[in-house]
Amino acid sequence: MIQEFLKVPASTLWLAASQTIYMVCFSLLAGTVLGMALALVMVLTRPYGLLANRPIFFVVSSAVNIVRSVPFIILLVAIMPFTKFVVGTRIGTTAALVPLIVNIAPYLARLFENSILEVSEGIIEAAKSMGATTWQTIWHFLLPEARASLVLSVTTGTIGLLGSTAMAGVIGAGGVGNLAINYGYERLNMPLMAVTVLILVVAVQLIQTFGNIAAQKLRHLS
Amino acid sequence: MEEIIRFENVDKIFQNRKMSVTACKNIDLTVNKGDIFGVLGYSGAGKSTLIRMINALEKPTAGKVVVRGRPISELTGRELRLARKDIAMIFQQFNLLNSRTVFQNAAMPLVLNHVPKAEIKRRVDEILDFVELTDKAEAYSAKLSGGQMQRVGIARALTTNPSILLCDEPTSALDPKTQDSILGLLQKINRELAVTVVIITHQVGIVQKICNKAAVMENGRVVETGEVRAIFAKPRHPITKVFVDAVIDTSIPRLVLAEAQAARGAQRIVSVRVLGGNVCDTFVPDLAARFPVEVKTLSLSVNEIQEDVLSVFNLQLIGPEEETQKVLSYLGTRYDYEEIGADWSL
Ligand SMILES: Nc1ncnc2c1ncn2[C@@H]1O[C@H](COP(=O)(O)OP(=O)(O)OP(=O)(O)O)[C@@H](O)[C@H]1O
Ligand SMILES: [Mg+2]
Repeated sequence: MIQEFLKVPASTLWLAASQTIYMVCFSLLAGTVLGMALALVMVLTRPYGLLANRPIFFVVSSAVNIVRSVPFIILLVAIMPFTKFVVGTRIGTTAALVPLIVNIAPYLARLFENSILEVSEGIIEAAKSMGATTWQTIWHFLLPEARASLVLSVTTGTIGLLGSTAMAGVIGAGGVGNLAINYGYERLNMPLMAVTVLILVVAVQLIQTFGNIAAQKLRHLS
Repeated sequence: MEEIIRFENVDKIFQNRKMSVTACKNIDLTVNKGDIFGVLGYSGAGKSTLIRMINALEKPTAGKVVVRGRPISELTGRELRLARKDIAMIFQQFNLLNSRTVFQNAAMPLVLNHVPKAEIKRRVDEILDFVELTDKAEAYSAKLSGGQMQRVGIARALTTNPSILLCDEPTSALDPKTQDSILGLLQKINRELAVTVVIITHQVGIVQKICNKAAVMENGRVVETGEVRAIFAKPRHPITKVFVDAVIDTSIPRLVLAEAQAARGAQRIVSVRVLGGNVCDTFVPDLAARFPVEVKTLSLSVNEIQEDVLSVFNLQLIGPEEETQKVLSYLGTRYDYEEIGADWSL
């Protein structure tokens, strides 16, 4: 049934979906870890931060800006040698993970940085007055207080990633977005195009709704 | 009396690229063990900066701050963190963790000290009972009233049995009734747990209610300091007078004063502050019996300070110049008095 309507085998569709899910989940996981590390470095070393350090802050913050200013489609191609070095190949779904992570980590880093900076100065003051170490301040004060906002940041990042995976088709990564471009756009398969777009729209809605609900729960206000 | 906090010629200057602000200047101050020490001053006087130097949230630009014999202003790293664990602090905006329950908030200093779970439970239950919040233990702090939030702040501050409690405007965000209950709690902490309390405020009423010692600040300087009773009995600095006058009524109703001033004959009008015991009934007759002068009471206010009585008598002394002069010198040796001139107006 699917096959007749969309003019592609169902297995193609499933493969595309699983490729997208694989790319989003893996790069989200790695990007979150990396992004959080970068965010913490920036929060701590920024002027008046707990470990204020101008050179480190300048370097990390600039690096984040530079990577963020490169459009993903260019990044994808530009870091191919690096990709090859890390995963041993320049093309395919796994090869796409490298640029995806390089792209999303600085983006998440900025979002996380903002979330953590939203925590009031008074909370940090309280932590200091209790004699908390820097690590304790992060773990017991900053992250718990920022967690609702952090969840929303991850949500935004996930949706951004979903968009990026479509472009990863350029290096043969497959995925739902790529399906829409290859079959839908280039072969003028309108039904397929419509269905893939619909799938993406629904996915974005679900992710956002889930993120909002989780954040609301974490705020303990309801 | 044993000293617990000492400021030695402390300056604090905030410097940035554009300008420098002198928040504290030439501060010399001693707080003794067991004091409830009030720091009184208007906004921007430097009170917060002063109290924040006691736990080294700010470091002096000159001089040093000594807490329990150790120069906290010179400690760093682990030594500083350990020293801070003995100096708890509560805040005007409470600064509680919204993501945590009342119990978890109160437990935080113990968690930071790696205290075992069972011990935390025992200690936090005990302290929540002390601040009367046992029934709210599992509530999230965002859903509490302001007074309850400050009680959580106090519980959190006390869990580790600190010897000093710093309070930066602890009741300024609260209504008067709640304010009183928090002040009562601070007093209870001071008495029952032997915690030295330093409290910052712009409300002289708080100093009157619970402090035994106080310092008055203006433009970064301590302009007056001492026993609260003495400060109220005899405020010296103009700004102290303004503060004290806000709670101790020294005025004479305009009509009464005008009538007194209109009286013919030699007379003087004086305002006398008498501290110590209730002398409402005895003061004027005693004065009249000592001197051949007619003593009329124009107005009188009786005030409680530190479990003592401060009376302000506004008196009209009628009699020959040399006799009223003797009364004034008698008053001058014993009390604080102020002569109210003919041009004195309210
Ligand atoms: N971090 C800072 N950087 C620059 N200036 C500061 C800083 N903290 C305080 N000041 C300045 O120092 C002065 C004293 O401030 P402080 O907060 O100690 O006053 P305060 O008596 O506590 O006032 P309030 O009652 O408004 O809290 C003010 O002029 C203030 O602007
Ligand atoms: Mg202040």
